[in-house]
Amino acid sequence: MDVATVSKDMFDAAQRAAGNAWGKIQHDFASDLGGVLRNAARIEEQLRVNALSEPDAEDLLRAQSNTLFILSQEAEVEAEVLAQNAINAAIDVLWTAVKAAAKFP
Amino acid sequence: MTGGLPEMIEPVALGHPLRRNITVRSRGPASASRKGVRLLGGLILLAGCHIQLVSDYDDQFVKDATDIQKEIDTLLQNQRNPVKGADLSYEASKPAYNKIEVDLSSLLALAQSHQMNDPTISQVDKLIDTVRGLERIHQRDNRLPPFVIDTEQVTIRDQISSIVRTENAKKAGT
Repeated sequence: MDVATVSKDMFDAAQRAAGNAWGKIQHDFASDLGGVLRNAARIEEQLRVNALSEPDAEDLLRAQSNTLFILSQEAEVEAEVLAQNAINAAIDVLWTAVKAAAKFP
Repeated sequence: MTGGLPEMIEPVALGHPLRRNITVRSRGPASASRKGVRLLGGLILLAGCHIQLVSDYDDQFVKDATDIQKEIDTLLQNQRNPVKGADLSYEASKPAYNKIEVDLSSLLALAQSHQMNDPTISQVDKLIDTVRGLERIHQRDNRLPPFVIDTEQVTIRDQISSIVRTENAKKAGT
């Protein structure tokens, strides 16, 4: 496995998917993604030298895939919180403007 | 015009042939009080109209997830560094797996009790799948190989950290 290439491709895909939330999650994501890649490379190595059975390697790789999915959900929630806050801030501005126009206290 | 009512309503036919049957009502200044009531109603709705895209933060969820992390760490640490004469077989470890499975099931139920919580529910589902994978390896090999212990400990720790961070992110929601 070409860890550098796979790492860059995964990082780019995550950045595209996270959108505006990327800046907030970038650090944790990069660190966890690095962990997944290191684990995957070690699993491959252990499998190659027959220190690990194929079914065990399969379960371990499945766990790495689960980690990536969990990270993707974290990015989704971060992005949703940003969107929610932006919309609610706009509603607050609208509320203030309408209240001022209607001369409500 | 309706006699006696202060409101001036003048039906006006629109000129476009496709809108021949549509009329609009031009209202006079006398409808101001009704408009005011409508505006007030609208303002009350608007004031309470914050949208919610993610569920509220749940402190208990974070606590339970952290407790499960400790249980899994304990199980794996006992496998890595057992006391003299300890039975490390799958059968001997089954009570620990059962306890973890029950606690994960409670964590899933807690996540499912909140609306708009699909991302967290999916995360807990994947964590459960990972822990079942660990149990499958233990059952298959009867003893957990050191490489599996190290890899699974790091993996499960990363997964729970991400789940907790996801929950904490909800605190920032307005």
